[in-house]
Amino acid sequence: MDEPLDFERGAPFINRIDWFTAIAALAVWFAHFMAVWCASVIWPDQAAGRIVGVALTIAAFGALYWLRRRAGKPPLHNVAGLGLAIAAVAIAFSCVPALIG
Amino acid sequence: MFEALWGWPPPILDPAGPYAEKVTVLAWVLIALAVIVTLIVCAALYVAIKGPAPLKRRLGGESAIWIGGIAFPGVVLTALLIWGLTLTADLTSDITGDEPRIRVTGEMWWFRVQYLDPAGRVVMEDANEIHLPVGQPVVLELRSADVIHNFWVPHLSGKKDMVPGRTNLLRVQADKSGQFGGVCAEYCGGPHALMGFVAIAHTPADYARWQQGRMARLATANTSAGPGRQLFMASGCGACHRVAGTEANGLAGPDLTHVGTRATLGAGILPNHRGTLMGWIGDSQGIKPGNRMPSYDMLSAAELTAIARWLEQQQ
Amino acid sequence: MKSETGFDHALYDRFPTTRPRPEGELAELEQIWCAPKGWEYLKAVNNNYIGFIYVVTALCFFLAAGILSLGMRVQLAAPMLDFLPQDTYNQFFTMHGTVMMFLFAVPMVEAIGVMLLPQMLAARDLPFPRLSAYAFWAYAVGGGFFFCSLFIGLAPDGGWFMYPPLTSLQYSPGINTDMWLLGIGFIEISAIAGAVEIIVGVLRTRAPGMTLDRMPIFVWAMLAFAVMILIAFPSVILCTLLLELERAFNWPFFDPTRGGDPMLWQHLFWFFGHPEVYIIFLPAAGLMSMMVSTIAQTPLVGYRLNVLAIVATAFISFGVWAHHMFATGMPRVSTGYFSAASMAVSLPAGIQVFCWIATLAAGKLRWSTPALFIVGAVLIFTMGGLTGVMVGMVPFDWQVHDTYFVVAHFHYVLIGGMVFPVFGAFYYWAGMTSRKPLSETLGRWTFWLMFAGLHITFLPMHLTGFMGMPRRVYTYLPDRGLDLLNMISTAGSFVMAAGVLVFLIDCARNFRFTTQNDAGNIYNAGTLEWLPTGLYSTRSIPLVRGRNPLWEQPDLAKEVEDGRYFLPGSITGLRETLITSPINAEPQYVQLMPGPSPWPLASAVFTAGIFLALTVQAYAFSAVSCVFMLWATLRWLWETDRPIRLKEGDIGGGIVLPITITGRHSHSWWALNATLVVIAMIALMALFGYLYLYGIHPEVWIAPPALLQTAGIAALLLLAFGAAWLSRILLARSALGEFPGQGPWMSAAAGAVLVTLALYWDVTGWLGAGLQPTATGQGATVFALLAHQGMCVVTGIIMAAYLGWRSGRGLLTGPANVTLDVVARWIGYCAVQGLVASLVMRLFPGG
Repeated sequence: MDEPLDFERGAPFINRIDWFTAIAALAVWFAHFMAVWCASVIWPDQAAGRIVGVALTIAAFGALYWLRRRAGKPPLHNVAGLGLAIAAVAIAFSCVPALIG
Repeated sequence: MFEALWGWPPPILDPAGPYAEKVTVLAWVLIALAVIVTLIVCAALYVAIKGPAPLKRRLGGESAIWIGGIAFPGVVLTALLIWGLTLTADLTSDITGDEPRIRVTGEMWWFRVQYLDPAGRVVMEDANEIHLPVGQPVVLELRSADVIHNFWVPHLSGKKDMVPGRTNLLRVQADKSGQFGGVCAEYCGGPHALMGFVAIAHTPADYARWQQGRMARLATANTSAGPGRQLFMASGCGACHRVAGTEANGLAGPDLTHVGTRATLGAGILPNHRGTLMGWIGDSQGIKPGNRMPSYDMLSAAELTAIARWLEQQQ
Repeated sequence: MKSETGFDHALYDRFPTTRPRPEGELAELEQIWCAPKGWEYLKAVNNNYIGFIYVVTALCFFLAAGILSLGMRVQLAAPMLDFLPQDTYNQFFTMHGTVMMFLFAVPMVEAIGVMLLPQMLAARDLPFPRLSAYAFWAYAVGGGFFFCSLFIGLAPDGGWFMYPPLTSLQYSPGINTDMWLLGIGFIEISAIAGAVEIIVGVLRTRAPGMTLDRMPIFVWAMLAFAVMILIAFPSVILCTLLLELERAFNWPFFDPTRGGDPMLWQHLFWFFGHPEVYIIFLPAAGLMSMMVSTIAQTPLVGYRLNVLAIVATAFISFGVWAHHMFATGMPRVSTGYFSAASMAVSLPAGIQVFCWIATLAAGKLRWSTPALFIVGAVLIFTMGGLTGVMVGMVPFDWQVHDTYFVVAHFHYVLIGGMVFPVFGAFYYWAGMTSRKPLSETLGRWTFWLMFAGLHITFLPMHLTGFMGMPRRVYTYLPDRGLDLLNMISTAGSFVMAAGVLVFLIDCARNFRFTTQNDAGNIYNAGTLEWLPTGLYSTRSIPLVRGRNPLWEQPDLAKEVEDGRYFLPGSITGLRETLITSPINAEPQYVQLMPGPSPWPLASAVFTAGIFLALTVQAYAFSAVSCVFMLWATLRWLWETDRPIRLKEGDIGGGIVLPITITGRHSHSWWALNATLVVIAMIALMALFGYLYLYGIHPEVWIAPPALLQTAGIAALLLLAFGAAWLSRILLARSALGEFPGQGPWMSAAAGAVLVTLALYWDVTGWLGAGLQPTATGQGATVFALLAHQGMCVVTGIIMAAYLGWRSGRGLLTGPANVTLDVVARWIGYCAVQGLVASLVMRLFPGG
């Protein structure tokens, strides 16, 4: 009745924590984005804005790391793992303007 | 000359200065990428629907999504992002402070142009036309007197909004002499469609000559005479239009001190000669409905000719 | 499978049941869910009717806006034409964009959701049927009147995004702008009501066993759609209110001479505007996923990737809004962040496209009209997405922004990403509501004409933009190289229109609305909406074991029809559906559903009356409408939340569940949560406006009132919160069904009075400190927040009065009561909102 499909072998993610982790990871991205944007508006074209942006990025990756540990280090084909991966890529994209340009 | 302002080749792909040229390169790369990816997707669709079985099987698994939907776009988008960020920085690198400065103010529905000296004072007024020296960056101070307008001369650079309450800076540079068309590219109501201007780039020697000629003209008294001058003042034109050295000093409309040398009339929409001058004064509402100048249809053809003759002398 | 609620999964083994169903059970069900006759159609609330007429109305707006675009294209066919004079053209293009975005795109996907979701989830209806009826009528009446403004020359003409200062009173003195602000602002209420319902419906009314991992992709997309609406729409509601306040009362939000800023509008609008286009796209992508799976006759490849792509798109689309503002002079690094996010947001879209291609490859495509629309949509949307990546690059955008290149881009993504999937969906799902399917022959003509017409119209526009033609121009000058390109685009628009005409002919000839003997599952799909249904949806609610139940369990249709699953009849003799848990869909309780009612229609008409009267400045008429609206709404609510005879019942297989519950697991609790998110977002966006204007014009800020006063206001609000909380505690002390006296009601009312007093003190305090709403940006934003609090407080007072009336009639029985829960939580929320807003504005170190 509940056999996992072939590529989904691994823990079925019936837990709340899996969905919560994916949503929380993307929420971390959003918080990071708004914060680095605010920094760029408060310190327009100044070094302080970029430094704050980099610091926020480190904090964001830290938050993702904590979320991953809390979810029990889920693999990539798990919803939690996918959500964390997408959020990590999105945060990486979002921090590039603080470093380049 | 008027016809050369626009037309083929597309201005965005026909740069006349460094700020536009770097973007043209980017444009071509983006176009090529877009075409290639479209063809890849077409090919993928074809294989998915009608292709041979082994290829279909490869395409029909999750790995196709990982490669085609994540890995390949991820790499390309990262590269594009880095290029875009560095190019943006390049195009907006710091103003050094000694470039020639022109203040352009968007009005409904024309462009007020004021040439500034290094101290920021206005030394010359004009409208709907900017003159630049070739090979040198010029800084434009973009403002608005009423609603949001936009300043765009595609041969020379990207566009920038003119927002009331703030001054936006735009660098432009022409690397060859010529006339380049520009438009307002932010909907500003009414005849927004007919709000344009001309950018004229001179070789440095010509530019110096042009500048000296203008300053000399402003330094001497305006002795141009004729029935047109009296008609101009009597009709009340001076209440809106300024002509330096005369009693006409209205600021609501374009400055007409140098209107005789202007390449266009009506904000970049008509070539400038006696016929269009007369036509504009006599029926500007018919040409550009809704603009702020009323049609002077009470003037006879002879009166219009006289005024036009006098305006032609304003160089 | 681990249990989410403690429900024993071994109970599922009892299904399908084997004992024969009692006689008359089906007949009773049919009687309870009987069809309306004659005028009763106006009172209908069943999603089969509301959903259908919602779709038809949205299609009518599509046709109307499409005709406007044909007029525009005729005007632009050659330079300096006078087919549409300047003012008319400016109204036409504004209305084309506004009607397409607000009256067609979002309502159409919401309407398809209303029609399909209950069927896909095997629920008997959406959880709040009368709310859907209200949402539809408000939209239909409001939208209809709004469109008619064209016929009296009073249509808005500021562009569909209505930038100030062009739309401020000085430059748009007519009521055209107010038509847009009030008309559209009000129609958003309809979209938000629908969103609340969809969230509760998707999360709480799924068939048992349909875990989140087994939900159809369209259901996922609608969930994302609804959550995005809750977060994004408040922003546009706020900015339209602010502009209306500026026009009507001279509060200077966007006036730079008094500390306002025109850019504030752009931020607020685009924070809504960009998610709006993904709100439009995601449900259509969900439809694509389902149709792709069926036409390839194989389960969707990469289901989880697709789901995460939808969720990721929903999030990331909130971080790209200022890519519409690259040319406004923002700080460079800021533009970089929005460019980066714009790149990032195209990744999930690419994932979805490749999911579709992989699914087509994994299966065997059977050509049909929906298949044509699917394949065409993939191609068109890909092209549009690619030009989207192009304009996401800042330097490139600086050249093509506000030119026809952008017009080409967004028509490709909107037509490829939404219109084509929706037309495919019309052909695909027609068999669910029509006795005859639509014609395959005419369908192919429709597709090819629309496909060719699209490319002929919009492909040249990429070049037109490169040639320098700006947007929103009623004409263009000759000799700019634009003549031939525009002529081609105009020809293409008529080809496309011909395709739509063929579709209408097809509908006229073949579509015959029915709720009983529809054409059926002609494309052999595998999802639940194709189970045999009547007005009651399925005879019994099935147990779901996989993602494509009709393929995995071939006997399912027969078993469901024989009543071998959940709720094969009605337990209470009223309309019912099953409420299940959000993640694993374990049965939790039975919900009683309302039947037909005229009050939602009345309330919608009077709500429309309030706003439309304000538009033409008929204040007395507006006030009268408001009174009638309140009366109709309270009359509607009066019938709800009644004590019921039966407390629990057998839902099938001997499983006994409660019949309606109160408290945090009830669907009404969840609905209020969703509504509070909307109210909170409005407050949050207003706070953003306050902080933003401070950042731009700190020089106009004055010092706040004394700290002691602030402490006093905070104390009042905390007391109010306590009083609201106390009311629930007082009620909880009484036994089941026992009436506890007036204590609980009066505690809630005390809370309402306290928040009112706090607000009064707050307002007078600011006025006393010398702040005027018309004076500066600070004044405007402070009083805007206070006005928002005022609206919430007034609502709380009306609610408390209503609660008092019910309490007076002895209808407030213990230990918990839905009406009290709603009122107490609302008042508690007002207290918290007031506290946060007041403290931020009074403690902000700006003066």
